[in-house]
Amino acid sequence: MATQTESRFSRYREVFLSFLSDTWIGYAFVIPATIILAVIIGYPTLRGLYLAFFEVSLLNPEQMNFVGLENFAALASDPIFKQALWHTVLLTALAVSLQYLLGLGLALALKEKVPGAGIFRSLSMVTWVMPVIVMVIIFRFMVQNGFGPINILLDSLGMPTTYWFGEPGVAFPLIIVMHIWRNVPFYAISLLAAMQSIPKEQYEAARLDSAGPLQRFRHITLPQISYVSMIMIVLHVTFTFKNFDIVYLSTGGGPLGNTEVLATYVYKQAFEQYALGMGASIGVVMLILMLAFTVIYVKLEEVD
Amino acid sequence: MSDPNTSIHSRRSLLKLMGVGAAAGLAGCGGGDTETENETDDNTGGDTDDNTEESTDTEDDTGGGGKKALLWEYGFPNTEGAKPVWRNEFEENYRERAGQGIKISRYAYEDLRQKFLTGATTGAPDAIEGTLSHLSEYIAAGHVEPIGDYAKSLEHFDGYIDSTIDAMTHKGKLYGLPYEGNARASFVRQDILDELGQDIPESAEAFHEIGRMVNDEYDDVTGFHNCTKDGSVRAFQEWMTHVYQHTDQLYVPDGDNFALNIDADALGQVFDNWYYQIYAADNPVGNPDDLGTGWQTNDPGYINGNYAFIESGSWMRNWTSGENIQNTDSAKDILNNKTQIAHPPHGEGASKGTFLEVKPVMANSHSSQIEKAKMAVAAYSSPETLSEGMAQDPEASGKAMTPVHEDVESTIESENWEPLTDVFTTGRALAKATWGPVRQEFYTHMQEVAYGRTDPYKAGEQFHSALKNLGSEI
Repeated sequence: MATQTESRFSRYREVFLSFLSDTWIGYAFVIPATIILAVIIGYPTLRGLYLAFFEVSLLNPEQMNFVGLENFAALASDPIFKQALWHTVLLTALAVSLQYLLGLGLALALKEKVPGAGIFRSLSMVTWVMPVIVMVIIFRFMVQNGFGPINILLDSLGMPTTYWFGEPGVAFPLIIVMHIWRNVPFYAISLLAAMQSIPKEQYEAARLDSAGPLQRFRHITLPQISYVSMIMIVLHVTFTFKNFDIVYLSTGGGPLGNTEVLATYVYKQAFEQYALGMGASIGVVMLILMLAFTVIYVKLEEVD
Repeated sequence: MSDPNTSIHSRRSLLKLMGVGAAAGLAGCGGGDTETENETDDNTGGDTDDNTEESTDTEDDTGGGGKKALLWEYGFPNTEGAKPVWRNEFEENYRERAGQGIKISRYAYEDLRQKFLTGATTGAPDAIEGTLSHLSEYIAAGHVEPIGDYAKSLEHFDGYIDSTIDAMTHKGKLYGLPYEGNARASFVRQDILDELGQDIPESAEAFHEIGRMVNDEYDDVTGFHNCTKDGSVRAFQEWMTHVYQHTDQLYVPDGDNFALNIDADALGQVFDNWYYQIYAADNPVGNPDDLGTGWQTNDPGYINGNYAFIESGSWMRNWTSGENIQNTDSAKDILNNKTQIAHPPHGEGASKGTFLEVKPVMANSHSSQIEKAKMAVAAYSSPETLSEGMAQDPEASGKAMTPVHEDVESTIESENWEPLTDVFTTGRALAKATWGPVRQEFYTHMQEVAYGRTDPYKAGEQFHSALKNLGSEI
């Protein structure tokens, strides 16, 4: 079987290389993609890196003063930046971990053909495709003081009610809940797809060897969903780390800076303080942290 | 069985063809008429931001020369199913001036501002509508064209209210024309005051007393609400309303910079009267459970009968339906019969004064069609458009209660709303500073006070010191 696959791949490789040997058609394929990548990804990234070393105002971007590493030095002594960095790391770690664990649990439940699984699969993507603003309006309504359903429920249980996005100790957990609500079904569906590609014979063989459910999960399921898990985790760490709209639309970074994250701080630096260079330097810090995370995680995954 | 060489050859030919097609497509060789390209240009202004709305005029050119001008705005009502009376009137007015139609894209103000600050140098849009704080930023960035000579050549120019033209002027140059003006006023539930046997309060002290009385006497009505959400533009405007009761201008020009024009005690008093007493005091006038909310709670909250006092503007007049309104009949009753407009109460040593919102229409200085841009400005702000469009539009007529032009008749019908005209005369427009850094400082100190973390007068001193340092930055 393996020899057949290798032979098919080597045939495709030969065909592909023969195409590339015709230099002009090779270039014809590569150049459009290269141009698109350069324009859409490369230029803004390089421009952002470049701006991070300058003092430059949004209102007068032509006038740029080279300041070297001064923007980064200023960040190192900026308490709001440190607070935003901590919130961002905490939000990412908690949201992605909980999303993964709940998504995994849900996928395992769906795999066991629980009643209603088909309907769930059909409806599960609704939260993921719903525009963020709609989600925020729904959550704002649910926690609205007086008539929000959550407050009505709490009130009926004799518990305190308030506008929970305005409550310093609760706003941040609420942001995490919004991320989880949005993404768990997507995790579940993705992990379920990976689980369904595992041959049933492997589970049958494990049962014959008296392996229990935990052992089957540990030694059969988990290793074979690790690649999908890696992709999901890397993507969602990146999405959550740089997420702006959920926080900005629901709390604006408040109350009292309790939900300030790097993405909202970048926005405030660039569009409220007009400090493009400072905003870019925060962006560079975010880029470095994300690159480091991705490289380390992928390497660890390879070692496993 | 086919010859494998033929098969490879045909596949290769197909791929060559696709590659050439892709390259040609990317190089812009795909053809397409001018109108298509124009529409594509139009759409470059749009994106899929969640709070962005966009509409585009797709009608063909029927006259005039060159491509159509592009206008970005957020003024026209956009209710699905409602006839766009004001927008239609504007388009007709513009067509008479330019001899062709105009393309209009609609964005929420924050999107509109960001896109224009970052992309105005491309020349699109040709004209833009916005707020006064936007105007200050666009002037500082060199994105708006002075239109003084053109404006003076317009027959209707002399009819604009002086203060609204002053609000568009910086260092002797006129940068836009006004189309809407409103002043922040106190919205008072007169029926509740009557039941309590109270007069409309003029002083902050009397206001606090009545607000607390409301809280004591009514289970389902709170004395007062104002906005305390971080980043809320409305919260900043409400704060400025009370600043303008202490000073004509928060900042005054000082050479190339601005100098702070208020003392720390006044800032502390504003924090005390409008944030500490409202949310953090022992017997608060407002409801501390409303902390962190914005206009989404403030305006509909009043219309739904939750608050006895708020500070708001003329846009409230026709807001009797929609997703935030719980009962249309009750909303109509509150706005038509139970609301009395008044000057916002003021603290000790302060006087009548309020935040004046004057909305400008401006021409992009980088536009390649600057004459059409100026025509769009003239058409948007012309008294014909305002009286036959804005004032007649069922959705927008409230905006014409305090018109910016003497040829436009006020749409105020109820005597309860008549004080809006007087409040309007006490309004003060923002100085031509770039207000972003001031707003950021405000949110921090305001929330510190509203959440009871800092004494209002101590916060006033800290804020005063921060604002003083910003004089050279804004």
